Amino acid sequence: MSPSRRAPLAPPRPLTAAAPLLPPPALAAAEGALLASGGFGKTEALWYTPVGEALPREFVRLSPSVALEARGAARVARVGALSPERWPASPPVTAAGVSAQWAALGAPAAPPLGALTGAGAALGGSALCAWSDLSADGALLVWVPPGEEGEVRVVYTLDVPAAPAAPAAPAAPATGALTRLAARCGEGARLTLVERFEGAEGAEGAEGAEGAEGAEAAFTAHITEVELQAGADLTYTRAQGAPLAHLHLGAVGIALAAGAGARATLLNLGARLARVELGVDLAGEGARADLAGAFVGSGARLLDQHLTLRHLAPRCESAQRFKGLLGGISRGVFTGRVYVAPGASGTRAEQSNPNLIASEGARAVSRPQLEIYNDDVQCSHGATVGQLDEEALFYLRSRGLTRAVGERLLAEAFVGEVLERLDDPGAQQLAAEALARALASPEEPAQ
Amino acid sequence: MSEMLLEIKDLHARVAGGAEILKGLSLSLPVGEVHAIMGPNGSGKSTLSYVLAGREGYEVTSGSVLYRGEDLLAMSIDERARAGVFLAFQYPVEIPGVQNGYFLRAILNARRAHLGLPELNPVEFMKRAKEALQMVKLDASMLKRSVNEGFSGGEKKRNEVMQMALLEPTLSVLDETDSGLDIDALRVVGQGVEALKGPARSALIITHFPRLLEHVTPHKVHVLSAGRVVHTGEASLARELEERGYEWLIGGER
Ligand SMILES: Nc1ncnc2c1ncn2[C@@H]1O[C@H](COP(=O)(O)OP(=O)(O)OP(=O)(O)O)[C@@H](O)[C@H]1O
Ligand SMILES: [Mg+2]
Repeated sequence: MSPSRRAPLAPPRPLTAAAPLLPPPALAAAEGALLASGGFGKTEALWYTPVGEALPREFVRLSPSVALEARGAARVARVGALSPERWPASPPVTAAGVSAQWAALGAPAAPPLGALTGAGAALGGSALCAWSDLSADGALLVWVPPGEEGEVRVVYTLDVPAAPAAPAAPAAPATGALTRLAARCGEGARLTLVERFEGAEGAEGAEGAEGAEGAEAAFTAHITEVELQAGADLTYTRAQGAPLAHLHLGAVGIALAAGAGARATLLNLGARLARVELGVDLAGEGARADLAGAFVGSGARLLDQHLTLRHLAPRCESAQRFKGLLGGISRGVFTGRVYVAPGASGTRAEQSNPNLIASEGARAVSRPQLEIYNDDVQCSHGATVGQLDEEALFYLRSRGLTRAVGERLLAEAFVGEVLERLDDPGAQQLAAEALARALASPEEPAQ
Repeated sequence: MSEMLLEIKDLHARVAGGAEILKGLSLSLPVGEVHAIMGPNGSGKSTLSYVLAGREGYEVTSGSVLYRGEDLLAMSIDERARAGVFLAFQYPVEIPGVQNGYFLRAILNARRAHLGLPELNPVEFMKRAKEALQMVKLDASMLKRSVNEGFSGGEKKRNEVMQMALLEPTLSVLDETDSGLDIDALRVVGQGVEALKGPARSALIITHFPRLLEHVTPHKVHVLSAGRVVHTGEASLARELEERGYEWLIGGER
């Protein structure tokens, strides 16, 4: 990792609010307050998931079970809670332990975990990342040697032990898992990386029903960082399909050296509150990032995506296309920040965030932010909020398709260009389920 | 006395909350017959077709429509379609992102399910689809594109006729399917509609021009004016209207 990636440019202002970070139970309370207040507008800070500076140091630590497939030249090490022994039998993650593992994989010496999501990186200022740096329980390390090609698919499943019969006291400690993945691609290496987050849905999985039976409340915090050396190539899929009872906090940091390319597809589909931060640094000349995502909400979910994309070198190209499909009384938030450094001439950056509101109570908020310090740039951005096209629906129904089938076709068409990018059947499955939930005729939960 | 497929009696309809557009329209279509509906712009022809298809936003305030002796107005949009009512749109709708081939297979299988027929698998479907495409002289590449998206005016109309050929509706309502077609396309569409004639199949052809009716000879021609059928004649009426216009029939009504 060349230090020039981090040093010469003034780091952007922190993205996350300075509001104190609420421990998960309080987060849940905040969410409850949000819903009780009727939602939007009143308390903006609650709107955009409150992640401050004090994530809990103390919580009941769980380790997700990990199903891992590695193919080709990808070498994988499992550390701490993500090792086969899992928590608490596994030794904790330490800097020395991680270094030793990199060495065992045959990778060159690396900066410590968190270098791509910490201070100086696109996600610098992320409270979640700062917090995770202090206390990650488990990590996966992936190394693809120069010029080689590999594939890694990981499914994280967090099964939370059933709570004692008595309802949890308000002061009950949070339960959750704090994990990481760090992948590094040598020069000209190619990596296909898929991360999926799953968990058994509650017995009836009813939307809006408070705390569906079966799935216990918990949080997952997972941080992914990928370093692409010159000319390396990444295809990344992240599919978040956690149970409704969960809170999901995710961050992805990707750093690209000269001529490297990343194609990332992010699905934010599960949990009742999910915030995913994506930070991409185009740090070497001619790097390319093609980012797309779909967030599909149902019930009372809040799905928040927070992107920071930095053009730090000349002639880099980026595209962001994030589509929100929101049913029930769910809410979707897209914050897309594009930063173009003074030295980044010949930048091309595109951003779009179309949203489709599939039911009356759903809402979408789009916050594009452009910060451009160079004249030689082509930037475009656009955000829209619309509804299912009644004219198209009439046409479909006039051919004999039921309203439900027609709506599904239109919704699939809307997110189609994102879902088309998926090559992972598990992710496709999660998306299909989320679409079905979003379009299910709303039994609006009483507020 | 021939059996009626469609009986419209004293139909009054309006756009929800708006002025009345259909003002006591009556029309009977026997099984196996093709009738043409002509009439000046704004006389309510498209409105009639939408009311028959069940489009939301139109309010029937009085009158009745019987389809095979059943109350058509009580059926939902898609129930009507599955029961064999087909509307070829005056302005077919573009649906970006929905693949035409996928759409066609879905609608054909919905109709087949209604008829108690098994689903067509993709191979069987392709065979049918290719025949239908050939009939309207559309390229097979149209199956890969989004429904009507970026289709030329003529291609959209041919796509409507192609859907009609696939679904084999009992009642087809063609709303100006001939408008905007070149002479060859007109012949193709005309022949397509003619080919769909049958003892158990009926059609209402809404048109401004007698040209289509040279390819499809109607049993009757109805003239619609200000929301009512004001005159009904034989096939030759179409030609006569072209020569004489509507004035002599509708007088001061409009
Ligand atoms: N949604 C609507 N809102 C208001 N008025 C409407 C609406 N739809 C139709 N109308 C009016 O109803 C009348 C009949 O319209 P319609 O489209 O049925 O006529 P048409 O006979 O099909 O005409 P054309 O030959 O031009 O296609 C017109 O005056 C039209 O402006
Ligand atoms: Mg019309």
